[in-house]
Amino acid sequence: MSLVQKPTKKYNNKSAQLISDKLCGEIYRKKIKHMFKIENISKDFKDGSNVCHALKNINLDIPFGQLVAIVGKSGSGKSTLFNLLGGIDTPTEGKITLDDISVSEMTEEQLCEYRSKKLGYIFQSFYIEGTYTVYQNIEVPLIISNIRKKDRDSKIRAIAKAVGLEEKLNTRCSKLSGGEKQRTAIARALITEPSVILADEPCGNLDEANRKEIMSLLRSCVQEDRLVLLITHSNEDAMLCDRIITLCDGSVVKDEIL
Amino acid sequence: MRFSDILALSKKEASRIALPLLIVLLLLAFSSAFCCSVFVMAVNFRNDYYTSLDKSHNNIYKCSSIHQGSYGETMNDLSLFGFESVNASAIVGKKFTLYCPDSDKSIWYSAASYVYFQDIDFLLSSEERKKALSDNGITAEELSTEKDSIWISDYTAERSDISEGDKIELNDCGSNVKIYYVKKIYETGEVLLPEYIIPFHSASDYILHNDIPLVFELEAVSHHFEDFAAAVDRAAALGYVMEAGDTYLLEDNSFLIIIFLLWVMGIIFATISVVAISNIFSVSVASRKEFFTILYLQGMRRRWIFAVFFLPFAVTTIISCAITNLINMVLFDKVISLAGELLNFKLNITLKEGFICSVIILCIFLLLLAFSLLSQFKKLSSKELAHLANDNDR
Repeated sequence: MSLVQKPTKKYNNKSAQLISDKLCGEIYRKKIKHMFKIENISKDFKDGSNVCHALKNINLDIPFGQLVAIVGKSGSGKSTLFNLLGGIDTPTEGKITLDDISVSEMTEEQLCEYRSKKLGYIFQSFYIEGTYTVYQNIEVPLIISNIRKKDRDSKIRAIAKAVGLEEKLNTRCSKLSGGEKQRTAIARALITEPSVILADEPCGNLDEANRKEIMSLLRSCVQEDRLVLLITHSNEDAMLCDRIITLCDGSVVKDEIL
Repeated sequence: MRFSDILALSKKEASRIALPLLIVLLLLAFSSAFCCSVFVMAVNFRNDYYTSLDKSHNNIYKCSSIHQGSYGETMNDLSLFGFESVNASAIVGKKFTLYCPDSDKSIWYSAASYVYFQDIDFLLSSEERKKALSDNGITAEELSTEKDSIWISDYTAERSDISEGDKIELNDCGSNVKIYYVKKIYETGEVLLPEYIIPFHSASDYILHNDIPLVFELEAVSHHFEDFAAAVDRAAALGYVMEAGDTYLLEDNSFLIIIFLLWVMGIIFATISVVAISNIFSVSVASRKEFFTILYLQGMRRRWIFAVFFLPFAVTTIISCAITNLINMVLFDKVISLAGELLNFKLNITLKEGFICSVIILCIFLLLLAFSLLSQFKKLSSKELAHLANDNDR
């Protein structure tokens, strides 16, 4: 079966909102408790007198228990939306809420707590510390979350086993392959059992075999109370998701459930 | 987050940046040691220079004048005008000591008389001075001749044999012999003096003690070059006409130039070392920008991140400063002894200044380090962090 489906019809913002509403209906029917709610989000970047509208009036409801892909061309606003959801950046207008808690209004301390407890990040360039071992890299979020040292070890070994790195725990990350580095990053993102995994082009630097492995891993991360949000420009990766949100010029142009 | 975890992360960070820190340590140690040496040397040059001024007035501004009046008053007056000491180097009034009246026993003698006698002919050779003496009630002709001087000098050699009641004969201008009797012997220092020999060490002591108005040649001294002209002017206003004096300050300006050059060198080396080391700090910190981002995205608070990076740098810097002091101890000796040989100038060095310098430099470096870290942390603001987080992905 081909991973690339035939192109679906293009939606405007209004139809995207309708789909979002429809999804919400399903959510409530399924009694899904956790949800990202994006309301009228806009993000502008100023460059001197020029203003770049990175995101324009985005409205989305993203329930948990899904692997959601956000796709679009370069400059479409994917990464900006990723940053807003991750509490890395703040919107110019609008509100993002996670379980009725406004992310965009959080203080610095609350954002740290939010990132520590609720989120796990995966980046294209891995963002793992090359001089640390796999074990040490995975341990960092546990240290930040104030987990006792004696409790850390079992967690680290369990997650390493889950991502297939149990043999590499004492290997320096600089000596790992790209796929292994990304698996380390995934293990690090999962170690605190966050509610949301934000993955920004996680397969961008990987070959085909590793890409499949990582996508498989991300798929396995999805649980009823966990959302995996995948930013990608790869249709193949997107087709493995439960839902695809397509952005173009800062607007949602398509929102489809697979 | 536990402090032990912060320490553990700091330890990892320290081991990761061991090489740049080692470079920092060595640079810091040697540059600050050199700077301290130069600075301390300059300070001691200056201190010793002024100490030498205090100990000896030979190389200070001098001026001289022949003045008539009370020696004590003159000294007091001139000291008020900025002259730190006034010496009556050749007191014209010493000639009184050779005046031997027939009727009484007012003859006196001083330890300086032999030298003094050498001046008599010189003084008598000047008509102007003879007149000055006569104006003070002294008849030049009554002064002894060279023969008297020699006679007295010879007598001096034998004076330890004098005892009370002894008869002393004094030739008066080579023809008349005047006779005196010793009434009492005073002991002053190692010299036994007959009663009629005034128990003062010098003629100037006697004159000062008795406040006798005299004509004397004074030498006034000022430590301060800039005070001299004003002092002379003020002295002139009270009738002290000061002749052009000698000064050795031009000679000693070479020391001032050396001190100035050392200061300039010290400032240049300190600047270079501060810039170089702050650059290493900055580069080391900037190279960890990605790791900052990792920690920040994992939810670590900024103050913890700051601690993770500041601690290893700070500890290493403090250790390096301690090593700097040890190196200073060696360098001080070497540099200063070399300077002493080259400049023929003995320095009294203490390590106090070096220690203070090291502490100051340490504080400067720690501030620079904190500044480097904080400037990087500014990039962890939400807006900049978004760019940073996606920097490699774009």
